[in-house]
Amino acid sequence: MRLALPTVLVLGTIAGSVYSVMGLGIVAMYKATRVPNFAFGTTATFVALFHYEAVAGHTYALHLNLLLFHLDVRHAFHPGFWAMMPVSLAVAGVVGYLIERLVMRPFAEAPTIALIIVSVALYLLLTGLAATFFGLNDRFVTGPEAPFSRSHTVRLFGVYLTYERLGILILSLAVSAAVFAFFRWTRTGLAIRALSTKRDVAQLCGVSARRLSRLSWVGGTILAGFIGILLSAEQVDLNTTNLTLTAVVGFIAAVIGGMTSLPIAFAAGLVLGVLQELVQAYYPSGGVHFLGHTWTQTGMPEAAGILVALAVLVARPRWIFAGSREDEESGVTMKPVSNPPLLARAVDPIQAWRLWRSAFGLDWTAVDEGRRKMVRRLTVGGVLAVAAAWPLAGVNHDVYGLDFTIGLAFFMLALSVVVLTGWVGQISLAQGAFVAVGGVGTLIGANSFGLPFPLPVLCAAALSVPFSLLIGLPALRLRGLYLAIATLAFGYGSSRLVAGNVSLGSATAPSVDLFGWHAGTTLETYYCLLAVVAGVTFLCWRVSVTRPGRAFYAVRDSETVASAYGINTTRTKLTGFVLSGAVASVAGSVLAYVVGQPGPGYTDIFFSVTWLAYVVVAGIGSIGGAVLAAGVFGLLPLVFTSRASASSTGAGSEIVAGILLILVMVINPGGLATMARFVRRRSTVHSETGTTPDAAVSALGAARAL
Amino acid sequence: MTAAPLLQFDDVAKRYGGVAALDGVSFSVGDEEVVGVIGANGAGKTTAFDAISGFVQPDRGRIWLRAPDGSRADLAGLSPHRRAALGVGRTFQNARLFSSLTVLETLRAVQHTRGRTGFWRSVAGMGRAQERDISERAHDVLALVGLEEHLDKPIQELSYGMLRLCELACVVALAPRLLLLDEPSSGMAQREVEALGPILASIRARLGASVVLVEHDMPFVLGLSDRIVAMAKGTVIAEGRPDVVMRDPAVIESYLGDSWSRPAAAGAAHA
Repeated sequence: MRLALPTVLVLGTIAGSVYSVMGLGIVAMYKATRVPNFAFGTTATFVALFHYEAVAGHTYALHLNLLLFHLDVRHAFHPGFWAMMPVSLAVAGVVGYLIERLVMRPFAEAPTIALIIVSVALYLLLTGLAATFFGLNDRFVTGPEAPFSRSHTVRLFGVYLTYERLGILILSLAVSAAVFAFFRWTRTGLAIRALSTKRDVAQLCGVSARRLSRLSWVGGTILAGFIGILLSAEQVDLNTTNLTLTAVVGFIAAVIGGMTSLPIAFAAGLVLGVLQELVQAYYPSGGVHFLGHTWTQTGMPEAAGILVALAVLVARPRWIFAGSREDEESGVTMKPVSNPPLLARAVDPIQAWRLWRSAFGLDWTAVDEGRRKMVRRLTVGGVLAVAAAWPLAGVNHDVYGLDFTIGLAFFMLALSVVVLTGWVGQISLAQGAFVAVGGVGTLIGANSFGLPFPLPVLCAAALSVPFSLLIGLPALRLRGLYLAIATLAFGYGSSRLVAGNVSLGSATAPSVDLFGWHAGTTLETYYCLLAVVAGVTFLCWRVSVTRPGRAFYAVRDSETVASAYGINTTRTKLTGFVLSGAVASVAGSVLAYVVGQPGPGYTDIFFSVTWLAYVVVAGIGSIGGAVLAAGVFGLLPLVFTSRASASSTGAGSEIVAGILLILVMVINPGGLATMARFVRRRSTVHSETGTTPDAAVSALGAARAL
Repeated sequence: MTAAPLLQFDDVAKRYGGVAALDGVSFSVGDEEVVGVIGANGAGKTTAFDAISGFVQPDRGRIWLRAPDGSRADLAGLSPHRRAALGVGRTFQNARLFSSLTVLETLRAVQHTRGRTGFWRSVAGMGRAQERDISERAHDVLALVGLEEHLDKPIQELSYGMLRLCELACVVALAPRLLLLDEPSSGMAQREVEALGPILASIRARLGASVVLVEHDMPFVLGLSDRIVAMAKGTVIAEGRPDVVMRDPAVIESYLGDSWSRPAAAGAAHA
């Protein structure tokens, strides 16, 4: 049965008011701190979980196996929903303060890209902590702990609404009004507006960026917590992902407002809410036949919202984006922050390095190019030998063959991130979408067309090209943060659409078919796929050392200078997107041969964002970094954890990855793979700085003699 | 004499809001000529550079460049990389290069237009001769500016003076027919500026290119230029031989100031 239009509009407005208030919170935090807070939804979840655990009188059982202690707090009293509210919000404030003090402070003046990645780290950390503290199971907020009655209704514009929905609408509007009033009428709000318009000038006028940042993290986290508690009352099931997904739409509203305009972000949230409800209500109930497939309405509301957002982002109307800052360069070259926090200094690699060097009497600064080349060849040979010969080491290959094959897929995904972000300097939070495309393309090629072995992989890569161009087109107009959000929106919409709609052969993995010869065992399949992966890696390596690679690096470091030297930046960026998309699609192909169509665990935005973080930790700039990422974060957990949790990374690894990511950003943004080079540089820099100006003059003198 | 000058500015105008950065500017640059552009801050010098290299689209007027085949090419609508391929090379006011690459890698990257090997051919290793050519030229050019000992240094670790030299090496490697230098001596010590003049002269001689030079250091610009174009508030107020322009009352009033009169004579004599 179809809902009447007024009902749809009112429901849309209620959903939209939630997006609006989230968008406002994100914009408000961005204004004061320049941090695009991807952890907004996770913070909200964290506080909401805390709140409902207390209200429901559950036991706090902290299974912190990582730190080897077990805390078991039992409390007998059951506080009411509203009585517990101030306590939960106070806890939220403390969490916000800790985030600012322990994580964000060294990044106050860091480049946007570093802030994006730190924000991702925060998301991982909070997700992991929430899972550790409160468990992964869904909560159902019912009965006494729900704040509003679900049985009482009220009539509004001819629509019957439960008290609960009405409460959410009123509270969302009230909070929004409070945020507006804060920025419009208070001194602090004015100071934040000054800071967001001209950061340096505002600071010179005596605005304390640090104080406002602290205030904004405390206030923003309280706001997020309040929204989280409120929404969980309505969304019924409370888990670690639901609110984060809602926050993605809030984020899109914030971006439509240019991350600066509160009124436009507010309006955008409402429009997105109404649009989604309209699509949901009026999409043909029998589905739409297109490309030989019946597309049901699952994912369509999201896709419609995303299309609007992408259109706004690409068109960038001046009246919205007039006040927004734009990063001049898209590059991801990251400089270490100047004042590392205590924790980072404690694990400073320089000290450790000096110790090792003196212990072995080594001096890497003196190693010549030939010796380095040899070391590099030995490393490549070693990795290949391990990849090819591990079954000889007496490992049960029927058990671990699957793990190693999935490890290959992780490596391809990591390599695609290296190509796009490390080499071309573009950021994409939607690589998982290409894994999905690759999987579907391979299954079509192998099952529907019956192509012999390497061809389905090529078929999938070809299928990825139009998607790469689709996601690459915004990249021609967008940089830094706006690009990241556009790809996030793309990934969100497409993963919903594909996961909800495209189902090919229901996980029937084809066997590798090489002109009549079939790979019968897991190990044979592994070797066939290893050959393909090695080929793709060789291709990427060739790109990195030849003309296209040089164009990539030039565009990454400075688009302006690159174009002044005759490099077509448009073409270079699109080439990078296509190459990266094709490599990620190979990850999907590998998965298709062992598990069938890759599920949400391999394709959704959480997976994409987590892997971006892993690759940044391991080393975003080199193929070695991709190997390291796949080995440490992909293969090892697979081999050493139970098969049951194989596709989802455990909470422990999320916490570790989050902490590692923050440390890497602080100490050496090049990642683990460049640690040796970085250490070498830092330890030699002191002896050289004294002589550099003179060296310049002597160089000039030499030139003059010509 | 060839039919057209290498570069011709024809009544070019560009406004930013209410400010006319360029207000009907016309001048031309001949073959192997060094033209110095002087003027106070905001006179429109850098906007003129941006209009030539394609980073700014003029509101009105034409910019003509003589193409290698002798025909006149209208630069309107061409993107910066197309202009670079036509032979327009430029440096930037604040010396910007690819910060994470080494000096040698940078010198290879800026020769992008030289070997036009496609994606697949490059990856398949079919441009070997070209690669060797690019490498040789990189070493060659670095020797010319005296940076051959710093090949493996990352750009971000260079001192400012060396960065300037590296940028010069890059434009030489590009081998432009028209070289635009935006304040090449800014941020350099006096010693370095004195050494820079001869380097620029030798580069110009080697390339056989025409040079347009924006500069505030008067002795430096007078010593190098064949002709001076003086600008103020988006218009050309004087044009001609350095000694003539230096005595122009409009130039003295808007840019040089009264105290210049004695050094001007010295500079002109030097030129």
